[in-house]
Amino acid sequence: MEELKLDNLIDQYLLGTINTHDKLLLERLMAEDTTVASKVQISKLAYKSIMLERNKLLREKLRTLDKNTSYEQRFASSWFGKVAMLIVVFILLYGLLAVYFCPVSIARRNFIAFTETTSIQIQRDDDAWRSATIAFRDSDFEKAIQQYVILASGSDPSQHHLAKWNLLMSQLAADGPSEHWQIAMQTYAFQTPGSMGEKAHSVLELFHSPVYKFWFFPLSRKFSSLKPRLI
Amino acid sequence: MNHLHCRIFYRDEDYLREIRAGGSRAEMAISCLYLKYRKRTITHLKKVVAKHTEFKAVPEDLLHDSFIVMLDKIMDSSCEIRTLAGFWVGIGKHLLLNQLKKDQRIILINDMEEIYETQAENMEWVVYDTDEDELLEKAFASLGARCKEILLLWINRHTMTEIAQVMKLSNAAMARKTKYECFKKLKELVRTGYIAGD
Repeated sequence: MEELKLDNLIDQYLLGTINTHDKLLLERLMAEDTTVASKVQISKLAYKSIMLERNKLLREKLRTLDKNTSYEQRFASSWFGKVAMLIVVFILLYGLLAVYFCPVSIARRNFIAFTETTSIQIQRDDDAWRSATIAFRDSDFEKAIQQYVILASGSDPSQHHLAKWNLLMSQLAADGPSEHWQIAMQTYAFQTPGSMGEKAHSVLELFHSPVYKFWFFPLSRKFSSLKPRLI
Repeated sequence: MNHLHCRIFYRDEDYLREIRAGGSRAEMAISCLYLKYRKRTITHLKKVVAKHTEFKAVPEDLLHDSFIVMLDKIMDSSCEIRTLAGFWVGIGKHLLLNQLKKDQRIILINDMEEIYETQAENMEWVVYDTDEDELLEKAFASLGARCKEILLLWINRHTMTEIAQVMKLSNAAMARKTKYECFKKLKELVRTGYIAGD
């Protein structure tokens, strides 16, 4: 058999692509001729030397894949964690601001409750004041409005300002900062002297602040059905 | 490795077909196969390794070695494979047990001299095997870079046309001739190495 053909057979034998007929032929040649057997033996060793190198390179490739996979996993987990934390912080912040700027919260924060001090100032109608305060605290704003309307109609100016203020707060809690309410509040701010007038201005400023507009205004317009649940 | 490329493989049969096809098709399939079953296999192998505290190597090495053995078995078309994941784990366990047996043998030789004679034959094979690998590695390292590259492409079952393209040779016949010359050179280096070793 010519050398080139034999080399081809040996190559196929080493790669495992030899057919059964050629394999039998080669095995017979190996058995009959020691030169062929030795040639196959040396070829096997040479093939093994390439395989050793291939395996070395393959191991390196697998290590690289491992590194890339672990890096991707770490990146994914850290990325996921950061995004999750950001979402949680955003939701918490949104919730806090929604509660802070909620009209009921603003009204409750600014409501002047009936205490011993106020009772000394207003001197009379103690029961009506106490009852109105309880109604407001129990979130029965309609009842509180009715009672503060009666109290505000009194002739005592200090009682009038205080009752009018609490009336506005009750209206705010009941209907939110409507246009009518804002006009009434502005009128109150201009008409009332001293600290009560300043307080009215600061409450009005709150509703015109950019933070309120950013957090609460879009919510009240577009997501009015979602608003009560969020609040 | 872009994972998106691996979407073309769905079943184990696809991997087997592509790996057996060799060349660049096999290269991609190998990476994808490794990435697909890597996590599952390493988990299994870690459990097995944890049961054998005497096993010194790290599970990752076992994972790589068993993967390489699996690839060789896949190339051998006569081997019947049901599931690649199970096959990989099976090879890993087999390699681990073999390594444990080998380690045990060496410990016994060190501790009990009377057993040495009975194990000598096997030990000689182990030492001879390592020496042989060293000789073979040295022989391959002596080749030129171009020859190394051609032979590695050939062993990875790239066609002569592909080899010609990669190596910028004029045609497949030229690639075949170059490969022939390189392999001949390597055989000569191996033969010389063995004669010098003797």
